Amino acid sequence: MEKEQLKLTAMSLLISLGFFASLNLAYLGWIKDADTQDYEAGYKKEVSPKESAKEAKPNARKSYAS
Amino acid sequence: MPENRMRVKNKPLVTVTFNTWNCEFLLELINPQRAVGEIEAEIKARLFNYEQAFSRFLNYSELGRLNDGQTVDPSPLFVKVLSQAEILAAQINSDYFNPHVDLAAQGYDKSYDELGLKKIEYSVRTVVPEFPSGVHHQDNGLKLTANVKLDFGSFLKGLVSAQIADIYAPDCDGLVVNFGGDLTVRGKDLKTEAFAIGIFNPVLKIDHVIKLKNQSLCTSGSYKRTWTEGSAQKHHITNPVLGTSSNSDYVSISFWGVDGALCDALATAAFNATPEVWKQWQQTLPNLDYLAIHKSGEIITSNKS
Repeated sequence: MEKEQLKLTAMSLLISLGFFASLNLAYLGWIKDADTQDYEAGYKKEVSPKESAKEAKPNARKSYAS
Repeated sequence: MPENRMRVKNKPLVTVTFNTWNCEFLLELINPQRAVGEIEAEIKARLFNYEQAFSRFLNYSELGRLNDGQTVDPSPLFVKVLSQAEILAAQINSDYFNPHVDLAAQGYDKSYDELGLKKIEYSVRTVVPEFPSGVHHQDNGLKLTANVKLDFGSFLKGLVSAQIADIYAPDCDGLVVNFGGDLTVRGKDLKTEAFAIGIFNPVLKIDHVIKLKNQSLCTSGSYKRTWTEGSAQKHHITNPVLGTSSNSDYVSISFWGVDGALCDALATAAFNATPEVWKQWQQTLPNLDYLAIHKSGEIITSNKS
């Protein structure tokens, strides 16, 4: 009887651990929900990769003759 | 989860760049609250409309047709910019600022990319009247005096950068609109109230950093857009009185303040004026500062900070 209880407790612990680990992974962005993925697709569509790569381009904060 | 999505959606700094009007356009948005692609498309459409109205190099633009001697029924946009030019002409002496200056007569008759380093052997000098006396308002539209031209290039980028900044400032925490080196900032930077902006020193190859807060900063320089006419070296800044390239010991002059069009016009006009006149402008026109770079690389500035 004690062994059965121990098994059940261990299994519950493992399930809980797995559940919280999934939550944590999702929180850190390793698992993305559909909305986020959709947004990212939209973002990439709006700003081309070439343009994204130029983020924080030094020339934006520079005044010069042209 | 919500934090993760926020992190992706509210990217703190987004920059959009593209080339237009033969220069680079850069837009930096701090915490934008609208789709950036939508903003970019709107700006491109706006700049396209300006180009269709004011390009010297499009013979069908409103300005191109006027310069060709045609009578033009002006669009509201053209009327607005013409009025702005008249305001600037009232603020700055015509010896220094005159939209009637004719760069084409000096050989700058096509876009600089097309012009390249081509040698121009012949040119026609015309007497430049005081602006806006060469513009005639007729019943059927606008017409220029024979052989008189118009060119709003000395203030248009400063005007447009400020206009675009005002339009999109409510859609973000802060922004920088940099139109070929003529820029306007609104709101806040990521961590500070003011934006730190570098003015390029073409002699020492360094930047002189100033702080801007809801202001425009415009720079003109004789080190860009140069060409050869016969044996003479020319640049795109013209002396309205002499009708030739400005002859200044300074290679770069910047003005910053609340009025983008005025700063742009002064940065160009300053090449035809002395440092005493710059000081006079700075003291009489509201909220204005300047920084000029001598051909030796040394600077003079009104900036106290």
